[in-house]
Amino acid sequence: MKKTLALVLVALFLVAGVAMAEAKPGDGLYIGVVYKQSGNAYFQASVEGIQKAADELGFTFEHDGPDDGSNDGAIRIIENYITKGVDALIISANDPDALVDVCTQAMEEGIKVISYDAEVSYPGRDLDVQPSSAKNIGLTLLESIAKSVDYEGQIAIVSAMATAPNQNLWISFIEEELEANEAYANLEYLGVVYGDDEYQKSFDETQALLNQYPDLKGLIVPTTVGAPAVAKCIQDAGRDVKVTGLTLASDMKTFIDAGICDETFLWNPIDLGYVASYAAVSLINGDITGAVGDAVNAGDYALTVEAKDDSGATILYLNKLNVFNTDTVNDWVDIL
Amino acid sequence: MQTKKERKALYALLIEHREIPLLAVLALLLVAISIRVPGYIPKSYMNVLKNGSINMVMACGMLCVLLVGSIDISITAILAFVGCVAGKLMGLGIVQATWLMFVLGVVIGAAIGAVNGVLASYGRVIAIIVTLGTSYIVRALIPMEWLMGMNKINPTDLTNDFAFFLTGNQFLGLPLLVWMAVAVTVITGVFLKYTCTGRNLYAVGSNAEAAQMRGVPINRVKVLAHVICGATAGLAGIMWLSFYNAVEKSTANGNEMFTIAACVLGGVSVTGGYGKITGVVIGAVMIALIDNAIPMLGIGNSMITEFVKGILLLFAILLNVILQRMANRRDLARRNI
Repeated sequence: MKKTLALVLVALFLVAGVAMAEAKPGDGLYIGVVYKQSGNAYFQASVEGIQKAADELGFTFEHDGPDDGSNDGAIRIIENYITKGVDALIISANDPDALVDVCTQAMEEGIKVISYDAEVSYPGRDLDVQPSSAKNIGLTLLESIAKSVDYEGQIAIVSAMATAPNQNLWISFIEEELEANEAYANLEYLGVVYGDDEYQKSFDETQALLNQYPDLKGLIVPTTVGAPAVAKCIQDAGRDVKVTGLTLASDMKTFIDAGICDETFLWNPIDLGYVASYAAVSLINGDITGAVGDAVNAGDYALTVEAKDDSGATILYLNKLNVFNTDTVNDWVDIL
Repeated sequence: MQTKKERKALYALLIEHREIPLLAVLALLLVAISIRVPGYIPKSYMNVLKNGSINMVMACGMLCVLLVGSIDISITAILAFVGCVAGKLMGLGIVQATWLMFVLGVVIGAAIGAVNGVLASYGRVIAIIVTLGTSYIVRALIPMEWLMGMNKINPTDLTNDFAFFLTGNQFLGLPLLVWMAVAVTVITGVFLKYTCTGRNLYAVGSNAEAAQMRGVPINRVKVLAHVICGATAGLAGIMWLSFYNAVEKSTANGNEMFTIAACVLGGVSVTGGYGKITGVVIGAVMIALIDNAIPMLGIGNSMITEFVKGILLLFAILLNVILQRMANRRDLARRNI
């Protein structure tokens, strides 16, 4: 309650544009940000979100990533931050397990550790912040393709590897929802083919689908590698089949403009950095401990910490995906 | 007596034209697929031709290096590298003309092929090691953030003219993509069969010493074979870019084996000296057919693509070995040994 009030006050001050000397929740706090690799546009965007949070909350931060994307590079940066005496670390890990030791050491010195985008394995972190739960991704993609084909006709999925755990989880939620939700009763679901995250294989598989099913209406492609291949194949065949999926904006701009995709999705790295920063400040101030049920409010986001699995690891989902359509795709082509 | 003579003639025909049994296998494959997927051929022949074109172009170059007893496994790395460099140059607005892209691709590819060839011939390093090395180096150069801000090539980098050049333009009902493969195949075939230099490739591969005695510049011929192979791989890179409109670091990774497989299926000897362009065409069609047909067998079948390719490859090699033995035995018998 106290925290909510404080946040409301902060928001009021901001709206009024009054630079008050009153304490912001993040005043005097110093946060170290470590991402997978320096010079990567995706993480530059996440830093933009952290900067936005810093402006609102008043903390200062430094950000860095290894040039080569290596684990020891990341460890050196973290050790450097520990020496400098940061209050919290916000980390995107190249390898979930490689940073656990150094992060545990940091936590022993009282530093709060938040992983974002790519997790540091539990118990090497206080909280993990992720863009979206698997269920949300599955349902968003299904609703998107349903909308594109007017809730009627044949649809199929072109996935990555048959063994890809993320994709399989998303697909399982899509399949469940197709069974359960009346709104999708007129969609005929054909099944999943696997493009193995190879361009040519994805292309060939799509070609076969187009050939076999002359009435095919829509394809869901929950993989960034497969999506441009699938869209290109449809463009090449000149067929009226809609595509949606998790994609990079730069890959799909042509196909969004060509009307093959009404919309595609990916998480928003700016918001990810923004929410991770709010969570970090709340953790430092002791407002939350990263336990299940803790509330994190950041801008428009009102989120609750969830259990990741039975291990005691906790996770915070933004559950909002970035939409790329003809209006928004141009803003993102240089970032994603 | 008559029947024996006929059998002998059939023998000779099979040994002389090893592509005949291959053609039979191909026909068998087509029949089997047509039974499972009714109307397969009219529905899919165009896709098979299109998807096989790039591999066919590279197989022409591969045939040349295999003939001199060498090999090149850097072709798909060259493909990806050329695609990225040319695509980036187009994206930056430096190169806009479509024809220039093709020239650029062939030149860069030939240059890398020349390095391969010089190291493998004058340098006396085993070709598979040389080209493995260049393939690593060339692929590692691809995310050239430090050079041109190059990461990957998207359709937005390409001019409209180029992006639809090979698939959008048709001649006699076939897209330019296929015609390009046909042209390269015909040129290679004529070169190997009717030019002195082309015949030298066979000479170097079947008996290098004898060729040297006859005054064939062995090293120069080997370099030439690698240059041709690199050039076709470079051309394939531009074709890939124009067909698929996307190239990145991992593009076509591992596909060099499909090119080698197309040659081996086509009866080309991996130890050099023997191989015909007609066989390679059949081999390339077979590979494209398998890639295209297996997904058509129904959703959930895609995992067996590699399995079938493996079986066919082993089958083709066995067939080759058996025919070779038959030929040897016949030669010995003729000399009464």
